[in-house]
Amino acid sequence: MSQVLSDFSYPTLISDHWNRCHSCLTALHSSLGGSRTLDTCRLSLSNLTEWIIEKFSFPTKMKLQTFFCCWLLASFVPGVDSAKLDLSSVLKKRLSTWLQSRTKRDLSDIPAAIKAESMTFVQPEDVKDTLKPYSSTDIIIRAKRTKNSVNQSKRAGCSFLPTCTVHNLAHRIHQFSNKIDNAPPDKISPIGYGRRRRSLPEHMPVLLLEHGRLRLVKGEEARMPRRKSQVFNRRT
Amino acid sequence: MKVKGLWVVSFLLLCSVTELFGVVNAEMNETEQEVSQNGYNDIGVTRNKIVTAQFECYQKIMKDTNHNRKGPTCSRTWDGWLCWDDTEAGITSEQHCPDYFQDFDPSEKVTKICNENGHWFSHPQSNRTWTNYTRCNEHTNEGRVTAMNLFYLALIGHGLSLIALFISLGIFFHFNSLSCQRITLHKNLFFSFVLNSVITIIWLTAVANNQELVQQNPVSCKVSQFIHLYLFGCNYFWMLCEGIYLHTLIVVAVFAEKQHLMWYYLLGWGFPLIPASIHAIARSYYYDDNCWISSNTSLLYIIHGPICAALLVNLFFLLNIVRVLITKLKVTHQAESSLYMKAVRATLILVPLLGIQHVLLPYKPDGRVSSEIYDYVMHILMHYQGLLVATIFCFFNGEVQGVLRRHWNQYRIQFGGNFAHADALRSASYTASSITEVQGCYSIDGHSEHLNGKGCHDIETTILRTEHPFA
Repeated sequence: MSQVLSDFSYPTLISDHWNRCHSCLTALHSSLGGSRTLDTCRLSLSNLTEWIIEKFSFPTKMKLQTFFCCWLLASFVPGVDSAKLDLSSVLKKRLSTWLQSRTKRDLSDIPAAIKAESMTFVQPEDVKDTLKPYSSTDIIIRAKRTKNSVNQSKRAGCSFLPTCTVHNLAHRIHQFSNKIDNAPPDKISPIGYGRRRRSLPEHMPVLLLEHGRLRLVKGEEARMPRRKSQVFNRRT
Repeated sequence: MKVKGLWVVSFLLLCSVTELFGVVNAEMNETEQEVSQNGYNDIGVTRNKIVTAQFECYQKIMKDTNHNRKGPTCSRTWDGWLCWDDTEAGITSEQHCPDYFQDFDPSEKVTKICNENGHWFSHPQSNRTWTNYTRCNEHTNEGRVTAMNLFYLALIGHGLSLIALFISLGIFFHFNSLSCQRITLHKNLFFSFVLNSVITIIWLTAVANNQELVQQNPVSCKVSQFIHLYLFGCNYFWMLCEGIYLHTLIVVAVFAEKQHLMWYYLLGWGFPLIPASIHAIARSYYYDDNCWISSNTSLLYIIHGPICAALLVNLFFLLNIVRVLITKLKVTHQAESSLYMKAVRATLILVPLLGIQHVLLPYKPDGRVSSEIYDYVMHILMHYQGLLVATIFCFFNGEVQGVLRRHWNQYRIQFGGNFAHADALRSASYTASSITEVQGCYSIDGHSEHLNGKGCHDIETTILRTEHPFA
């Protein structure tokens, strides 16, 4: 009886734990990216069955504590990971805006040869059909880029933790209940994207490189919507 | 008295939630016409994204002036949706699918083949340069079917849970002889389950499955998301409360006075307000999407971080409790097999109560099939937890069964007295047999039994075989 009580004297157990956790955490902190600590944690995770068997034959307190710490760490790694992802995307955004401003300045002193070469990459006909819808609707072209960067390879956010399943389900149902926003099947088909059209009607808007600036030209210059050209000029 | 006040407050909360949704629906009806006039602007958003990507691509093409090519190379290009870098001949270039359309899966890959002659692959059917986007929406339909299955699974689970929980709460409130601290905690846990189920059903059916409402983005739907997250947190923190209570009772304060439930109320109903509020504020500043329905933001970790911490603490409590159980069972020199059986039984009983199942499957696997299986398992575990907990801790509870039988027999003797004498005899013998049955099922002289209804007053005696510390 007294042995049991001394064995489980609560405060010492907790403080002991806490010290161990703390040392574990500082180890992780010191090796940023923390591959080594994480490896040992993963190792102890893989030894789970062994641990359970040992557990039942009364191991030292130490095992339980390290296991607990590592589990704690392991479950918080995805959070840290995704936080890093967010940060990097913010940095990327800043970098890209900076680069944009740089290119704006630099475009004026690009050698003529390179300018000519880039002209061969960006041909007016590439631009024509994606801009087609705008000729009639005239909406603001500047899109919010913080939320949906185009090459969003890794799914950000709460997709790893098991308790997130409810939100993910709600999100998925919301997405699937929206049937309008599907990809147009003709653009995936053999006649779809990746093509270069050789003939297009003349009144379509066209992006042109003039004096180191991309300009939107729509048939006659005069009929061009003002706002759109302003937006494009601002961004080049 | 204080407890009753709390209950009144929580019922008011429930009422206000339902009222709120009345308001939401009303607003929805009012502005429905406007929506049909305005139409959806999603297509516009998609086009914006494409044009932006195109613009960035052209900038990139012009900026990169690295022309030291070796051998034939497919030149960089904009294909209409994505930007492709210079690629060496014979290499298949790969990118993740864009997120322009809701049926594109960003985890899938787009491929573009660079032929041996240094030209991009052109499709034999159309003789045009072609990028393979077909994999992007290949599995979308399966995904939709899965999502709908999970949706109905969740609704059925919450519905069944609600029925079971209401019956359990009715039993707990009706029979005053059951009331003790442990049952009070159970009541609160069950009530948090009820609220969570109600708000989840409302959230899934009225908001997530309702495109018009999300498009309008009324304030009330953000408020309901806030309430949803708050009650979600409450549920898990009440599990933590159960864990703390059991742990304190069994491991720490064996001789302690009756515990103060005030702190449990604060932790269970009060604390989840903090992460929910922080999330709401952060969301409104940094990721203010429609109805806050998106799960693609790390801000959700503000809610789920504390919840996971609570679950981990519960895991620790469970391990410690099981350890104490085994130690004490060993002291009494029981047979090894029955010892392990009892330990396993106690663990299994406690797992749903403490929400440990979420910690045992911490990661979502990457593969498509495995992640689908994982989804099904997690949804079943999550949405049927209320049902499971109500079943184990009320319907299978020895005390509750005993009380129910006693009342049933009293009722029969009282109103069945007019019947034949034989009937009364039969009922008497039935009582006796039922009592032994109860004894047989739920009063095995084991220590795991105190976890589930051996009677809250004899917990201490069964564990420690000491004198009753408090009357």
